[in-house]
Amino acid sequence: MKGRKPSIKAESVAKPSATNPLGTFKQYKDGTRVSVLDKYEIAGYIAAGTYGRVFKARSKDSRVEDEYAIKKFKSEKENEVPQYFGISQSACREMALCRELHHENLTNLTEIILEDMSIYMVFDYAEHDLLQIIQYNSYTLRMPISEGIIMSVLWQLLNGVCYLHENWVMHRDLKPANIMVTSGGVVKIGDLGLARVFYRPLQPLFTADKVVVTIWYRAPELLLGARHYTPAIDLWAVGCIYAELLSLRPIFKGEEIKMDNKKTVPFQRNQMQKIFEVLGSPIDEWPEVAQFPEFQAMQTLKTYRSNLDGWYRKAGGTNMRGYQLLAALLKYNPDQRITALDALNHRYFTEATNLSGNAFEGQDVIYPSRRITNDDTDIKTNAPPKRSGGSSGFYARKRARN
Amino acid sequence: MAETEGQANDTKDNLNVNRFSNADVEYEGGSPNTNSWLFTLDELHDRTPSRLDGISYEGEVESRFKGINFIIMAASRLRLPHNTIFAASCYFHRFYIRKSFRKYHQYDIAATCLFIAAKSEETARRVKDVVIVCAKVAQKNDSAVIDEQSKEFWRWRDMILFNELVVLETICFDLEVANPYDILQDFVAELKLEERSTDVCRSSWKFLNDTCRSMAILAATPRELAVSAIYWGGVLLGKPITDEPNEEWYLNLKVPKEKIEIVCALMADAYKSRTGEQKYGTV
Repeated sequence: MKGRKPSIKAESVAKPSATNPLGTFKQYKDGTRVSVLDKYEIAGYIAAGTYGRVFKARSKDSRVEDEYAIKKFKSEKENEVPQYFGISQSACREMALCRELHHENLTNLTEIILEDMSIYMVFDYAEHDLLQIIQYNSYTLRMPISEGIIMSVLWQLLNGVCYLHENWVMHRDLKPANIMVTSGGVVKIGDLGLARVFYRPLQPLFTADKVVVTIWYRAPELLLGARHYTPAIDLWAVGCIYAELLSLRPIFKGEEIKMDNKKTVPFQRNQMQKIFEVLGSPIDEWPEVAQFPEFQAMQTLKTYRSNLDGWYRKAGGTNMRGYQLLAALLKYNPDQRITALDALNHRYFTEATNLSGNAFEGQDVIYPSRRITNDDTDIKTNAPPKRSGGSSGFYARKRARN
Repeated sequence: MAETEGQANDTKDNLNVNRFSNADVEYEGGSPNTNSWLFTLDELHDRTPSRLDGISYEGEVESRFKGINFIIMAASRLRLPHNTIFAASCYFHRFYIRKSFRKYHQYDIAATCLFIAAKSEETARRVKDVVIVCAKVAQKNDSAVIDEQSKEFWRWRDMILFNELVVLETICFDLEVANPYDILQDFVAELKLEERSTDVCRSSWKFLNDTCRSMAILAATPRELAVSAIYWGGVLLGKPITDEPNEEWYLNLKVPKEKIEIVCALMADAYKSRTGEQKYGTV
């Protein structure tokens, strides 16, 4: 047995008073508990999402030089009433999975702290993320990301995805903002809040989450209303990320149709159209497409000739193998789409001479550090920050205009 | 308590990473999954927090039995599947390996574990629904009317939401639990048991349901539980499991006889408890 057992031990809790048993217990508990702020010094605020807020932190123990990203979850809310409904499903998933999964290319969970009915998950800090790298190249350097970086990042990303799939976990929310890169050039896949185990699920994947994956990275089978889907959806997202690393803008940048009520999921017509514009119609290579719920709606779209090779050349791609891998990742038919393991063994990588585990090795570019703001360093408050600061805010607005 | 919390968090890192490849895992005497939530019979008999708190072994077994009964009754009313029940039972048993029944009532923890398991097994139920069902089960009255403004409703609701965090912390946030039912199905297929006797299959499944009620969950891996269930099914119905003269078919599945004996002994203890006796008669 490798791990030590949690020791069995009699507790020395003070006897609860008859009037308020929980109160006494809580006092005792709060007294013994290590508070987030006792242990960590908040260096700044990084970003916010639907799940909650993320802060950069350092250990107060001066012997520890590591930096951390602390993710504070919002509590579950139903019906928009400001009331506590227990921990959220995404916190529950991330907790359950991060405790078990350990891999070089996944963000590492150091600990979980519960305090004042809030959950703080402490992760190792990563200086960069793919969104930030893409934006730096796009707006500041105004030049493509060097091929060495792309190849290394893509390989490491696939390596992490392969590990997840081998362990029967689907990520379901791969996108540049969720892929971190450390200052040492190591890719770390983050945010497992939508991830799910798909080993013999008793619950259909569709029941709990009607919509998965951010729209630009959403696979065609999902757009067509698939009730059952496979880990191939993650590979589609990897294909989109790869394309974005090449061209510095999302390859399929559709406009999302917002859900007006929670019951029905609208057909994302514009997103599907954007995919058609590059890849053409799926009917020939994917005959099963006719059985999807949204097939009729799809047929009303304007069709194009498949032109991925043209797109690839236009994006500045010259490597033949790179194109083949991209085409294999962006296959319409999920059964024919390349798996993570096969992608790792693709000739794009095996024939390469300079594939490195450090994305920045031998590169001249020095990417700027993650931008953190100091106007909202109070991790204890529940109020969302007033303005959307952080690294993404400035660029996100600029990006929206393009 | 204070010091175990952080420590346990650190030490349980490799738990159950192999959960999905159970069939290929070599048996190494201890746990193939390096599952650190497994304990020896001595530890379970004499050294649990409840035992150290002056509760008899029989008393503890009975409280556990009652708690799991509560989980099963509430789960069936909430239409939750067996794997959610199993996960909730695991959380429940693990919780009381670190806390005493003197300090936490079994119904409170049972309700909380079920609420968490529903979320972790992707079968989430609304707090409101869980609260109402739990209040009914606790009253042993299905037609009871639980008003959402009532004191009782809010007592249950506050209790579950408060204990949710206590339970999570106590079980070290280990929410992924390997599912023995899948393994049982694999073994049944492997041994071609279904063609031989559907009754054995059925009683194995039911035995596995009952393992939730006993401390066997804390002594054996899901794989060992599944094999013990088949063993028990065969013994109970007097049917051989394989044609080979060598009875020790389970050795081929890399489970030693001693493990099966431990599981069966713990099961017998549970059946013998007062509540178990009323339900099953003595075994």
